[in-house]
Amino acid sequence: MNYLGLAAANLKRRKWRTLFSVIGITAIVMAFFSLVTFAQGYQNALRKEFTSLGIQILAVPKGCPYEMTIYVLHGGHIEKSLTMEQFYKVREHPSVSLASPILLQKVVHKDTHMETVLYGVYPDFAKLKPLWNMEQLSFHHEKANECWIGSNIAKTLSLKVGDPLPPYYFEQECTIVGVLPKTRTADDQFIFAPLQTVQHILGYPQQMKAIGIQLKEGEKVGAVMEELSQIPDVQIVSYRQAEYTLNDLVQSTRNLIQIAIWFIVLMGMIGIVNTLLMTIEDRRKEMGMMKALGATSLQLSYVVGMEVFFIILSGCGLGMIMSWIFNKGIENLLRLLVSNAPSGSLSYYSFSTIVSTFLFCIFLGFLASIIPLRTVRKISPLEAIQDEKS
Amino acid sequence: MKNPNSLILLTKISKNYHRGNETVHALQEVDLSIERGDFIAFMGASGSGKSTLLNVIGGLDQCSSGSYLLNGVEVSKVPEKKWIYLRRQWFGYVFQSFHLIPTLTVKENIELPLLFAGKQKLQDKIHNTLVEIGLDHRMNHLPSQLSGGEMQRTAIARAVVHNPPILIADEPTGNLDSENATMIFRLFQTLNQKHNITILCATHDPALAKQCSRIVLMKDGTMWEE
Ligand SMILES: Nc1ncnc2c1ncn2[C@@H]1O[C@H](COP(=O)(O)OP(=O)(O)O)[C@@H](O)[C@H]1O
Ligand SMILES: [Mg+2]
Repeated sequence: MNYLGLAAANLKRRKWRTLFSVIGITAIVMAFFSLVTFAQGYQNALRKEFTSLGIQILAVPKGCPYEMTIYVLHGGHIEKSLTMEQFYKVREHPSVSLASPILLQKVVHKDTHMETVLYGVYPDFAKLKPLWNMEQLSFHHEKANECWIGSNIAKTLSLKVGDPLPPYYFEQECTIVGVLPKTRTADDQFIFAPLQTVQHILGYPQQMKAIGIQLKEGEKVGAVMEELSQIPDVQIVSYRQAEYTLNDLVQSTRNLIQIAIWFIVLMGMIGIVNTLLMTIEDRRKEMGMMKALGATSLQLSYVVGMEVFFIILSGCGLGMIMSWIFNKGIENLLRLLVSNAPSGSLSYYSFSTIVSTFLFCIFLGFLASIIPLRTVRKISPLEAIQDEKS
Repeated sequence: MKNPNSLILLTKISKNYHRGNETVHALQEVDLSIERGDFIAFMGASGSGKSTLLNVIGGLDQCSSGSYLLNGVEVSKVPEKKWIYLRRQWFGYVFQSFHLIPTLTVKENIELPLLFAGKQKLQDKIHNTLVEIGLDHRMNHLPSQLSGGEMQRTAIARAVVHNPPILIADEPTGNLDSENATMIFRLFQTLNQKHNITILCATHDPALAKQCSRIVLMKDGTMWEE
């Protein structure tokens, strides 16, 4: 027999208590682990979405860069527009290699209520999308009633090239001329049609909401942004700014989630400390007797410590496995809490998240043991035999 | 009578308990010397101070005043932390209610003192002790599966497995029938004669006390010897 055997005997004696302690830790870890992976996954998904946007900088109507950023990513309603004149000025700037107008709006399928975004673009918009790996979205002409659709729409509505686009809430008939490759970004849900067609459908003649811009090689982004900002009523937003903007928008929600998580952790801690004190109180006489048999407080603490770490570490492992298994459900929950979350997976498992969660658990274990181990130190062998005093 | 080379030499040992405003004089200036190989019975009415005396000797409790020489060394002021090592070296304890660890088997219970002393490798020693108390066939049983006599024999094995020179037994037969009580005393005699263990045993049973080499009588915290 050894100390591990002593610890195991105690854990087995109170099977249910042990089980519930482990479940408690599992819940804490699920909450904690989900937050950590969410924080990282969110960054990653956001970055991926912007990369898929392929746009170094974005020209938007003056005064609403935040709304525009979200608009470009997910659709939505924006009052202000850019005109063709402004577009030409941007396109003619010597540092700009590509400027592509963007006009988009959220549209809803009449029967299934599936939401999607209708994107009006120039054919060369494809150059801004490295993941598409295409030069052109080919349409028969600038006002053709044709569209390219994302791979997800094609799959869920079983559509293929040559099919008419099913009746969305706009009246225009539209033929599918291409299905985009899968990108695992929001693009997979979108419909892309010629700018003029979409201008007509949405009732914005000669207008656009944003211009995606790529610069010639070697150009200094900051300097060009400065110069383009001189165009009246145009505001220039960089990729970085847009990223910060979105992060800011969700920060308060994330703070809220964090408070909730710490609350859970605190409650869990109180639970563990309480359980530990209970198991020690149960064993006061035994521990007193063990001290009479020559055990030091340190040796008894060692046994209690092993019990704590068995509970903590198995709860921790189980919690991580569970949050991995229930990943989708947790993610959907987080999506409800955080508006404008990027599409794509929000959780991101990495070696460092797993290690930091384990370290966090071990830290909790030490923290939870402080008071119980002080109790162990104070037990005297006399307590074991006190019932015999008469 | 005073012999500074005694195994244990108590001089004017007193122990007071405070209960509210009241002070209980559990031991009053007790003088006692114990030699190696003694087998002493402590007799007296309930509340006469037998347990208190044994606890002070065994270092489970501290005296209020007086001098306690253990093998010539003054130990009355030794703090609890250090007593742990004196206990490991000098004492084994047996109590009326056996205080076995319910989750551990007979063998594991007996192993405990060796584990704490860092000597758990002595498997032979454990086995010999099991054979000596006649419980080798029960070694994998839990205490709850044993009779009272078997439980007390397990407790005795656990008390002597680390070869302590002194065995302290506080009413070890108090919860046993006379047959088992006799058996326990026979075991004590073997330990005393064969292994020269000094045994200090509180008991109410005059018949058992007669088998001891000395009888100490106690009353109201004082003692005298027959
Ligand atoms: N922890 C204690 N607190 C207060 N009084 C005590 C305590 N332990 C023992 N006593 C008192 O000390 C006296 C001696 O008790 P004890 O040594 O247990 O006697 P015995 O073992 O001979 O029955 C009794 O009056 C008892 O009530
Ligand atoms: Mg007593």
